[in-house]
Amino acid sequence: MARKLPLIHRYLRKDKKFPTVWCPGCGIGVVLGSLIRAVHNAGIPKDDVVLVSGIGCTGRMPVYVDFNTLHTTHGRALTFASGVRLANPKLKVITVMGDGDAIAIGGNHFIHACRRNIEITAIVVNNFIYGMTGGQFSPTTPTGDISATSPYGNLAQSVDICELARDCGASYVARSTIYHVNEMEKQIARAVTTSGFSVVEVLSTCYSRYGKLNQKGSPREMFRALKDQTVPIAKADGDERINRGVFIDRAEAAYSDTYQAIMAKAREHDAGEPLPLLKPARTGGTP
Amino acid sequence: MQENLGYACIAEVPCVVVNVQRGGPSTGLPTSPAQGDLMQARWGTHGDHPIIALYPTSVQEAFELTMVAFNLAEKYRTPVIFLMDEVIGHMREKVVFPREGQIPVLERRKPPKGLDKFQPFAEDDGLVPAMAAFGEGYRYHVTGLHHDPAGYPTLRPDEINRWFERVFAKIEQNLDDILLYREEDLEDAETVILSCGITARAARAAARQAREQGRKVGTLTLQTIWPFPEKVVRDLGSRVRRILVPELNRGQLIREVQRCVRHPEVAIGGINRLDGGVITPAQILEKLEERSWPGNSH
Repeated sequence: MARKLPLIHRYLRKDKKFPTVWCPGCGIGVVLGSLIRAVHNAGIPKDDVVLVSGIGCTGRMPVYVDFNTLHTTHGRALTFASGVRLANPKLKVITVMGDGDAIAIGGNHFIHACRRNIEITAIVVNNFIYGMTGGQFSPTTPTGDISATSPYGNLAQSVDICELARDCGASYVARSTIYHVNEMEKQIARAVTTSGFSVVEVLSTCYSRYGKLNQKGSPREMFRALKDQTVPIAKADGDERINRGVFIDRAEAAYSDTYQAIMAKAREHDAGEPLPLLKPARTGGTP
Repeated sequence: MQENLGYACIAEVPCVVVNVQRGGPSTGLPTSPAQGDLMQARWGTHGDHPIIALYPTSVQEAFELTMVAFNLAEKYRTPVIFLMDEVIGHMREKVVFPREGQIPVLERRKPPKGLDKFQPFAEDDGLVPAMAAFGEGYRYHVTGLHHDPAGYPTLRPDEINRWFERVFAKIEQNLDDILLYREEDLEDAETVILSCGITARAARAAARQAREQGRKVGTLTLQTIWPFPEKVVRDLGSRVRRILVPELNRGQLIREVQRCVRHPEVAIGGINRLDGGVITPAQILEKLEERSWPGNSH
C-alpha cells in the first residue's frame, strides 16, 4: 500500500478539499483508489477523463480528484454523462453512483443507458443503503434488513444490479468488492477501455448507517464479510453466495460513433435538399 | 425539469428550455391553450435565482426569439425559458427566414489558453465568468452545491453572498439588453392593454378597433416576461388612466402590474379565461365598454 500512495496523490486535488465527507469505516475511498490506478494504468490523460456523479456519499467522489468533474442532481449522473459523451466523443466518461442514486431515482436512466449501450463506464458503489440521507432502505437492501425507514425489516426484494445491466444490453458487466481491490482495479481498467456501456458494481460497506443497525460488527468485520459472502463466478456452481467476476464482456458498435455519423450525414444535406425523413408529411395542406 | 433548471441556475449552464403551455393542472386540457405557467417559469425551481423567460406572439416571433433565447443564454450563462401558448405551438404561419450570415450568433466567452490557475466561477473581466469546455485542458469542478470561485463546495456566508450578488447583478445590470417588448399607440393612450402570447394578438386587434371608434387605446406586448419590465410598467402607470391585463389564467401577469404601478388612481383590471378557449378581441372591447370601469360614465 505504501508503494501505491504517491500515485494516488498525483491524482488528488491539492486545494481546500480534505478531509473527505466519508465516515470512518466507509468503503468509498477504496473504490476511488482503484479507479485512479485503473485510469492511470490504462494511460488515459487527466484532461480526457470526465468523472460524473449524482447525489449521495459516492456522489462526493469527483470533487477530490483532478479530472474534469461534474457533480449533478440525484439519479441523473448518466443523463449528464450521456450529454458530455455525445458532445465530445473524445472524452472518457466515467460515472460513479451509489445504489440508491443509480438504481432507485436513477433506475430509469440506468436501464436506458444500458439499452443504448453508450460509451460510458458506470461504477456503482453498492453499500445496500442510502447513507448520506440518513440510512433509508435502497433497492439493494436485502429483504428483512433494518434501516431508518424499515425498523421492522425491509419488505421488498432487492435488485441484482449486474443481472439488470446485462439483461438491458450493457457491453461489459462485472462485480467485485472493496475487499478484492486488485480484482476491482482490473475490472475498472477493462471497463474504461471497452466500447459500449460498461458497469462495474462494487460491493461496499456503510458502517454508520447500515452496519450498526444490522449488527454487522466493526468496519473491519464488514470488510471481511465481503470476502466470506461472495464467490468467484468460476467457483460458483451450486454456491448460494453472491457471484463476483465478469458477467459479460462483448465489444459492441459504439452509440456515439453512430451519432456522429448521422450528424455528418445531416450536415451534408444541410445546404441542399432536406433528408428524405425530414420532409414534411404533407405539403400545401390545410391552413 | 424544475430540479435541473435549478442546477442550470447555480452551475450557470447556458441552455434554452421550451415550455408550450397547456391547460392544467396535471394532464388538464390536452391540448388547449393556457397561460398558467408564468409564475412557474419564474419560481418553479427552488431557491432564489434570476431567470430569463421569453414569450412569442406568432410563429415568426417564435423563430426569431428562439435565436435571441440562445444568445441570451450564452451571453449571461443562464437558463432561458421559452414560454409558448399551445395555439402558437401548433400554428402554421408564414415565416421569413433571414439570409445566411444575418443570423446573430453569440459565441460563449472562453478563458485564454495557458492560464496557471483557471477560476471557473470567478468575477474576472465581468459578471459572467468565462466558460471552458471539458477536454480543453482546464480541469475543474462543476456542482449543484454553492461553490467558491474555484468551483468547490462552500458553506462560507461571504462566498455564498458574493455568488448571489453576482448572478443577480449579471441580469439586473443588463436589462436594456434583455427586456424585449412592443409598444403600439402609447403616445396619447389613456387605456393600455398589457398582455403576452396569443392574447396580445387579440389585444392589438381590439385596440385598433377601439381607435377606429375614437378611443385612445394602446398596447404593450411583453416578449420578455422575466425579468419583469418593472420600470416600463411603472412609467406607464404614471401616464395612463387604465391598464387592462387579459390573460389565460386567474391573474398572474396582473399581479406584477399591480406591484409595479405606484399610482392608486390608475385602474387596473383583468380578463381571465381558463376553459381552453382564447380571449377574443370582442371580449376585450366589451370589457373596455363596461360601465364599472372608471371613465366609462357615458
